Amino acid sequence: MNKRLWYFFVFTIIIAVFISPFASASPDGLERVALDLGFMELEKEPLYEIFPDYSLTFVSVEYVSTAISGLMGLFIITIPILGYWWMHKRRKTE
Amino acid sequence: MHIPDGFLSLSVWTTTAVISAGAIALAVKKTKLSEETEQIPLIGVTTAFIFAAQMINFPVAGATSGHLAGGVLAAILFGPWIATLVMSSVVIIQSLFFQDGGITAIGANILNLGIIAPWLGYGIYTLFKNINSPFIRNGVIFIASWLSIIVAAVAVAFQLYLSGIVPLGVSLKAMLIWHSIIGIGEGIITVVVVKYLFNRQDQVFLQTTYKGVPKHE
Repeated sequence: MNKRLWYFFVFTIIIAVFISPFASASPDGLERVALDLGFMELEKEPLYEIFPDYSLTFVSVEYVSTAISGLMGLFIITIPILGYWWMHKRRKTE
Repeated sequence: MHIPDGFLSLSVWTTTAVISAGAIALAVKKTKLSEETEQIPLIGVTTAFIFAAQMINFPVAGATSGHLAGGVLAAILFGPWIATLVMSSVVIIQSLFFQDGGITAIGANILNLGIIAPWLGYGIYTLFKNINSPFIRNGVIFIASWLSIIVAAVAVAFQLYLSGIVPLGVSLKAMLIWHSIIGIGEGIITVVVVKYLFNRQDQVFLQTTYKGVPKHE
């Protein structure tokens, strides 16, 4: 990984953890349409909740709750990819 | 634009799930990631970036909000097959862990954001790939990204119509009005990030010989 890629990764962590709590809470495009056309109530509750809407149910401070969710998302994505990469790197050098 | 559980009819969500599963299987076959080891960190960081950027909703016209989808970004960087895999991973993780997008709607959301959007955007991008003017190239990337949001919005409108929720004209009009504005954000972010990763002396991409990556400069 070169310098530029590291900067890009650091930037990614910054937006997931520090900027995401400031994201707009307005309904997104599809939610806006569903509200305007009156079919929002069709939405079903999810079967289970882990980080519902990028939050932790047991953390009451919203900023912290969203920030931790963002960080968890990055872990969920990067750890399997890193594992896959190392596995193949090792296989190549053997 | 993530569809939640409850909007789509049984036939719509099962059909889109089958289409998306087939497309993912084909994408896995077409991309030989094991032979492109040096490309994996970049794909990983980009996937993480797309996930993070999707958390950042920017306010639109005081009535709604939008965020990057990222399909065209991934397609320009890695080609459309890998883009489909990147976007599918993001959609699946959002649905399973963050309850953003319904579990039954995973197939439809992958179809819209991970197949239709990146492939259309990539198609437009490759048509003008050989133009040397940076200004025009940025313009093409902007339009390709904006249009990818438009077609995805049209696809959602059709899925809502086919599910029997709203008449086609009504759903098309409502989806297009908001997403033609939200798509501007998609265009700007995609141009900036592609420029950052591509158009510099220390290009990340020059280190690899990956065939799917278009050569620049």
